[in-house]
Amino acid sequence: MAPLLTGALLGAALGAFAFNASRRLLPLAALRRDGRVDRIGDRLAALLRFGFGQRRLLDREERWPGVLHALLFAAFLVLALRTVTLFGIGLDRDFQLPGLAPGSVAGRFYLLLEDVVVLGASAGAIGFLWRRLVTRPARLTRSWEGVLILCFILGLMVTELLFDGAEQLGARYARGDLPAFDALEPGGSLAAVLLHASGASPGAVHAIGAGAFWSHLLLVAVFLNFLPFGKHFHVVTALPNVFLRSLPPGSARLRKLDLESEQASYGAATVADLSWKEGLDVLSCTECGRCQTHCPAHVTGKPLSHKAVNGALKRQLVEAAPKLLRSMRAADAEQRRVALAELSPLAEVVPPDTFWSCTTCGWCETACPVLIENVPRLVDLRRHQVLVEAAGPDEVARVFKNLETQGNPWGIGSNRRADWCAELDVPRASETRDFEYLFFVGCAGAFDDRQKKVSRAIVEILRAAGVKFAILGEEETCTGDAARRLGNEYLFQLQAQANVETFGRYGVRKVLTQCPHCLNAIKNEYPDFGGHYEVVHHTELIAKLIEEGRLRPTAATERAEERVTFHDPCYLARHNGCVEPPRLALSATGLAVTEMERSGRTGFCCGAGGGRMWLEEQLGSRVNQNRVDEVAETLGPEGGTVAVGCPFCLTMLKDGIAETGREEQIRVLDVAELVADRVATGVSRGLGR
Amino acid sequence: MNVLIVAEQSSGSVRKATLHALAAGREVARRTGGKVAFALLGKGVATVAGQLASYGADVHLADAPVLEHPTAEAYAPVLAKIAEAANATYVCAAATAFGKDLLPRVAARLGAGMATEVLGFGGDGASVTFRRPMWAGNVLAEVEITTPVKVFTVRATEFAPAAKEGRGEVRPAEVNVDPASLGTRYAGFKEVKSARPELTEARAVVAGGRGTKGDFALVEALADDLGAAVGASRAAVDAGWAPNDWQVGQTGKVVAPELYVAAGISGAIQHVAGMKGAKVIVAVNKDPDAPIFQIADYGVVGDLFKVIPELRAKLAASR
Repeated sequence: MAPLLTGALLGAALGAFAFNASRRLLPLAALRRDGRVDRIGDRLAALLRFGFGQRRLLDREERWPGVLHALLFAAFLVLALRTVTLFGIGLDRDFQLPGLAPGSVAGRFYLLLEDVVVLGASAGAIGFLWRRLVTRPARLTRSWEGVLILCFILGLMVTELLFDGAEQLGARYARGDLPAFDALEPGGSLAAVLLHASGASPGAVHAIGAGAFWSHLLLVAVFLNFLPFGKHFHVVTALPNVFLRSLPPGSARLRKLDLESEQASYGAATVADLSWKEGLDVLSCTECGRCQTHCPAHVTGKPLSHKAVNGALKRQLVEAAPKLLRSMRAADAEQRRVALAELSPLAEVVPPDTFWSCTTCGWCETACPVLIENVPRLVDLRRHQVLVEAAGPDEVARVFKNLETQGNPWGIGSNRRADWCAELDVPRASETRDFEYLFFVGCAGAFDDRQKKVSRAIVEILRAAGVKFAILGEEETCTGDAARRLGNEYLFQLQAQANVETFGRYGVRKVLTQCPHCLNAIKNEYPDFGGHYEVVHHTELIAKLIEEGRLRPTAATERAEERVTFHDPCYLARHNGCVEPPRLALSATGLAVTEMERSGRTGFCCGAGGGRMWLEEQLGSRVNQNRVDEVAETLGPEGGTVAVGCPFCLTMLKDGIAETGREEQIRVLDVAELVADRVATGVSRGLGR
Repeated sequence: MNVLIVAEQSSGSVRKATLHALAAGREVARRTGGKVAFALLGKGVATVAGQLASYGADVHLADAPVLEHPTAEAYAPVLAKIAEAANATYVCAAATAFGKDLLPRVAARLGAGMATEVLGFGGDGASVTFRRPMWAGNVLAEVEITTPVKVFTVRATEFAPAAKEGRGEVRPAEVNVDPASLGTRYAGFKEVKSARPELTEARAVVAGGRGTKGDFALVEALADDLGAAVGASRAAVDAGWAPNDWQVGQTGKVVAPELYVAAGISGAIQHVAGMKGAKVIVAVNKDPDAPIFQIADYGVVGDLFKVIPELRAKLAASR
């Protein structure tokens, strides 16, 4: 049509886009290296499932907005070809994509598909505008950018339809035909019918077609160049971001800091300490807010909002871009240091109250449609505070000291670690090699009077099923999970090395834990310290023993009447994918579990993860009370039992129940206690509230 | 081998800690066969010197305007001179703020080794060794000082106060300190006045929990009877029954008093972590299965609203 004009437009649009996009993306090359091209099969699977499949967007809770987004996404994929065609037509009136010639089967099918997605995307854009302007859900950040982009999209669809309709109508007029609706070209033919009905003259129709064509091309050019500047850069980065995800997820296996190296980095001091993928993560954040829907910190009014953190880091990254680029040209470490001097400390960009609020529960990462990881980044911020600034909440110093001196967070004498089983005659790994499982009791199981009952219940179950096991006794020490997630990587590594050495001394191969935090550390993080074990949670082992017929709990009939719900520990369900076993164990004893709204991999944190167990909760309302409210709602006015599988959850829920005055209605019991109650004698042991 | 006790006075009377230090000094002197003497510094403190003399030891009195306030810089050279004049092998003071501030300087001037916070003595006969805490009290070390002159401070609570016996002499000592040469200046004295002792330093703590049902009156009354600080469990603080700075526990204050009374506190581990260092733990709780009874030295199963008034009545009767 106008090759020069089209060529100029195309060249300007692509050139400007390449310039602006590279200004965003090139600085990432200055950031920390992180290999993300292994396990290609898993990556392609994720790309199909989460990228093209839009799995996270179509989440149960977010179905409608998810469907709207899927409509837009489909349109972008299909119309990419159409855009090429249109620019082609601009260059040469008779341009057509090879294989998609009008009239051919593929061509007709493409026209149908295209018309369907254009109509779908129009509906999607209108639906989203409705949400932004009328219903306004809380998780959205209201911005002119969002509205403008939706108008762009709607404009692209309308101009596409008008151009198509005008073309069809022109052809009809030339043949002396009248337009009619054609189900195989629903969009174009509908536009043609409407144009005809409007009574426009053939000349006007031609003008409308030409106007729509140029508007469309111009919109594409503007839209494309708008992307790098805002949250809609995700249109470009989302799919790569999904493909380059961390495998396995980094929040269950935090990055090991090399503390021996002379150029060791101790967490994130400035934006230059992020990894390139963390940079890509924040550039890909669309501010959709799914991360905060059930974020325990956000929901209870603490200052943590992952999308706000991402936004702040994104701005910081853009601001730091010239320095980052300069640092890449640095010849040595000193020059690099100079280039990066005067970057704002991240603690000013992301206030400490924000990252100390995180319970590392992982909800945000389960919800994020583009697989952004937040937890490792927040822990890196804590690491810098603790390891370099020696800052942080006052309480952390006490926990660290207690762990250092006594190997448990309360600072109780390490010589009393085996007191809980003084009368049980539990074998020690130092005395016998004849054991299948090493029962890693954990600090709570060994020292907390309430959790000691769970430890004893587990021993009872293991004995009833004839499982050979041993404990470490006084040789056991904290796994270091809380220390690591509170930023004290040094202390964590000491603890991990000590335990790995002890395990090695006794030839440990299988480890049984009752604490999901112990489980996660030993299973996912100890491999970095040379410790490779098969690690099971007690609920997993119980379910397995029941399945194998080695454990036969009596399923008392009166239990069917009992109201029970199960509170999923984050480090069991979310971080380690163990959802069914505790439920199997409970149902085998005749209990019918009523599920809470937030359960399984989308469970709600008790508030104690990420070392928050050891910090005072001074901001907002209490996470545990929020959860207990849900427990109470699920169990109904009669009350009942909330089963747990984690000592922290047990403490938090027990406190929450007492704090909200529900002690008479709701009791908290570990799955092991409920099972043991039905195993040994079949007689109730009068489990207390 | 003579022992010199550095006396501490305030507004015209001997501080009690000095009498505890005297007891320690007498013990050393008895073993080494030496004599005990006091060093008293100040301005217009002749009457205090008289009080000290009634403990049967000579008093080296340095009375001068420059010594009006106990600044270590002014006191140290005077004391060092007195120690030399009195031919003292041991120089001792109570480990109070005054003693801890002053004696290191004296030790430096005398070229003496020093032991701080001494709890008792070991060794045989005249060769005296010093027992002192290390690693925050987790370890007791027995140390020997090998310099000819030995300086030490003692923990007052570890020695019973000395009784009066005999009569000593007061001997004026020379003061040769030029006020203009001093780099330290006395700015003022601010006394912290509090009806109750500071929670983390109190010798006794009475703490209340959920069992108080929000009524801390009895807990506070018992605390005042015992001269104790008041503590609270997190549950009580959360409920708004007690201020934040009363909270004892993992995320509150950590206390190690000689006596800890837990009233209506179940003794969850998060609380125990903050008071497990208490010497004697007394628990009052309605629930006989409450974990607090696992660690309590004395436990009363009962309603604190009945038990505490009885306890107070018995305390009042025993006085």
